[in-house]
Amino acid sequence: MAKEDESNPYAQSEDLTELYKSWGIFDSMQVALEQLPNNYLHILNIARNLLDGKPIPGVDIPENFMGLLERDQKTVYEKRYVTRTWQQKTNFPSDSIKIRPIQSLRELPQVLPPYRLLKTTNPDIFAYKAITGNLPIIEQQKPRVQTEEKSETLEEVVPKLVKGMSKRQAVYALMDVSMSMAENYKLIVAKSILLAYFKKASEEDAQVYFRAFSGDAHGRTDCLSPDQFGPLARNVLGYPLSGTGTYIGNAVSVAIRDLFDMREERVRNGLETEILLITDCDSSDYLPIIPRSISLHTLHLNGGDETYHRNSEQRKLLTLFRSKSKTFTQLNTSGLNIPVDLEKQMMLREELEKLEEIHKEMDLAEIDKDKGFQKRVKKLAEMSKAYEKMFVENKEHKELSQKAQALRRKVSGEGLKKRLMEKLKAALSLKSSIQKRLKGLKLPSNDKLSGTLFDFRIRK
Amino acid sequence: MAKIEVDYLSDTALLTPLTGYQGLLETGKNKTSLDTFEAVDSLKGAMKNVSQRVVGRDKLVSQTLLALLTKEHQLIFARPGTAKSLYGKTVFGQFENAQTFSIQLSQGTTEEKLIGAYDLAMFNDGILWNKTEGSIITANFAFLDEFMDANDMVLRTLLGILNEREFINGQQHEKAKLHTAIATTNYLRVTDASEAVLDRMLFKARLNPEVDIFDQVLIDRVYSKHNGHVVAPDQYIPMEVLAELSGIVNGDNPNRLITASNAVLFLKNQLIRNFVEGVYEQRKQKDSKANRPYISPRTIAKSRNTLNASALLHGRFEVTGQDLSTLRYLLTTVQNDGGATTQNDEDESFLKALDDTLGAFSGKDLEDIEHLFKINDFYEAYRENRQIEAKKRDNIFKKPFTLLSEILGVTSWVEVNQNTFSNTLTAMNISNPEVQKVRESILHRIN
Repeated sequence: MAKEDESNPYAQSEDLTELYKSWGIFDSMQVALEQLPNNYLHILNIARNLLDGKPIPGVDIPENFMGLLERDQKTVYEKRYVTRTWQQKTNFPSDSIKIRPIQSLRELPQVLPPYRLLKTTNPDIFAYKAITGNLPIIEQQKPRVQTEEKSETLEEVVPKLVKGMSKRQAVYALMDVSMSMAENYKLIVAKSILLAYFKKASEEDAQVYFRAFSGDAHGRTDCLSPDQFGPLARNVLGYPLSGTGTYIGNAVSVAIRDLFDMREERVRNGLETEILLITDCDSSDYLPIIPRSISLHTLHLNGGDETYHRNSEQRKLLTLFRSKSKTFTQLNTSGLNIPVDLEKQMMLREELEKLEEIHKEMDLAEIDKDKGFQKRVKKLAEMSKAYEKMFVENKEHKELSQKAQALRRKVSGEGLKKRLMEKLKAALSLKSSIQKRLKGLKLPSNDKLSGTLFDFRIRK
Repeated sequence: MAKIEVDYLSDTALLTPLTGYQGLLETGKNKTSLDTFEAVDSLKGAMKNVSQRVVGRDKLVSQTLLALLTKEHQLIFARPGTAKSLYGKTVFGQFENAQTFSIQLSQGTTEEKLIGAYDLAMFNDGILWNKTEGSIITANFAFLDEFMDANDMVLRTLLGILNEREFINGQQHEKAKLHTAIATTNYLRVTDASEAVLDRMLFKARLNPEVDIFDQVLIDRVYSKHNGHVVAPDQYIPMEVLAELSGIVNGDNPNRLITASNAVLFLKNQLIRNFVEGVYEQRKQKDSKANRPYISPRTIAKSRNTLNASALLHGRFEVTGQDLSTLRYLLTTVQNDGGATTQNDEDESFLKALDDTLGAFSGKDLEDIEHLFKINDFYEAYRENRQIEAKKRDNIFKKPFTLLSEILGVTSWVEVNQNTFSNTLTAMNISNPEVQKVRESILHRIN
């Protein structure tokens, strides 16, 4: 365990700081913890470990492939502020139907039902109203969309680009989402690796492109700046399995065409671009010719089942994959096993005890003022909740999380109480000031002038 | 009975009886006419009934009382289940011989539902005539539920009736009897028509579903007693009493005029300006692109009636500075706070604006304002060719000689000209910049 700050026994431990930093991938998701399903957290947990160069428990990843995922050792972290701007569109469904007077006799079928009855009960009135435009008709309208420019500035802790650190300009990933990926944790591993790969690339300011495929190549998601990582990650995490059949060759062709369309000049100039293909190689077509400027990295998730590739056709396909890929990595995902992380549990418990001690010694005003303490409590509550969600069966994580949430509620409740008290005090003082002024207010009589240069009167 | 000390800033200030008298119940029964303040107390008693049936809504009830007295309308933003229908029925149920028109509006609601169907017999004779009997035109009160759901055609029809209190359709021209409408909605739809109608709703309130713990128990007690039904009052208030009182408030009764000094009207307008600025600042803090709040000239003009109502409710025929606090019911969207200690942002802005306004003008400033308007009144009379005379004020040494001359029949009053007014204005020693602006305006008119 890293050395703690000896001068302050209540300081946050360095290990915990590292853990929080490592969970930066969650911060960049731009989503509340409560909104994330438990299995997403497992995927994020694996991804953050991969970025830190730690292996996936039960899955043996070769070292050369880890190089694609692990953050550079020279990484220096920096705090940066990312301003995210977006257009928030709001639909107003209440305006989707409009009642307006009839404008043309062609609109007669749209006349409101009670008025249609008039045609039978009193045809004259109906005709009169129709001709004078005095019949209400119902008009279907498109929802009114109001677009509002929104922006927010987020604080992110990200690796700083330093000399000597690898820096790619564009990466492209293809993920197989055919039904065969459902077996043996293949999809979980694929998503975890993909997220680590994307995170690393986005931290290098590389442009990231992603497509999933099964029978067809699906729509593309781009992440052209680090602040777009959140939507991309949410897309990857929630991507469902679909389709019948797997056409890997088609998907790779689409990716190459995309890269040519987008980066024509760069690719022609021979600058390297890479495609990461994650699949179980159970394809119904062959790979196309891969241009020299593009490196294909293939990750073959075989799930431990070798029976797929026993026939000669499949073996031929695999050989082709190997020959066309710059790196070809085979992973057996069947052994994936994520044990309860007792070390993290201990770190979080220690932090909880420290924060509870600090809280005991603080009064209301101090708590409200000490934003650092509030942030620490909030972070602990969030992190312990994440571990509780990941390991729902584990009683210790649950208990730890409950205590952390209780402390957070207490701290924010006390802050709120303080602010309410201040507000009440201000309101009372304002009221007493008004009452005093009202009591002292003496309105002049408007009977006559006094003290002016002239006195006036109306001549009788 | 002893007069009760009123805290003008409390939520129940307008509902406090003037003399501890509990309404019309004991003394009014066999009377043929009512004293004005007895009538005021009887109306307060009726509103107290409402307050007891619809718990925790004192501010709302106070605002409704003002709407009734000023013959204006009230719009309530409320979510389902906040007893808004019960509220409307209970308020209007306090009045004798009153017809109430109730409707739940929707996009499909047609004009005829409000103003009555065409008279078929007249139609066959070539005359377009709506049978208005039982419609909103002939009703004293209207309860317009889900107001914003109405289509623009219906909202426009409502415009004339709510504001002009007239129904004009070709040959048909009828005076609407409508005294006050209470409209409810749970959202705001902004269209040209709805904005105009909203402006006609002088008083706006929001019913929050949250109530404090104490009120919740009271609600339970009332609910178990009446099971959510409207309960008839022990004694109704005759519609004529309400009409009489609102006539006084709106200045329609020349024998019972409520007066207000120029200074208090000046303070009222300053208060409105400060309030608008305060709310704007508050909104800008939350959203830099926030719009400045809009208070229409109609609302500003009608604020005088609110001051009159406040004076009458406090047992006076003269508006005083205390009545300025009543403008909170006009300028802000009142709401129950869900607890005794919290204040909403608008309320806070209002109190701050009131404090700033009262603190910004000294007694001398207010006297100057009064003089400025008085001089302006003489100038207006001069322009209307009335014979105005002026007399230069003497210093202490000259005064005895002037007195002597007057005794001897030599008058020092002389006819005025334009210069007399501008010289008097220029000679005034005014230190407050806001008051100086008033002087500049009058000088500009004179020169």
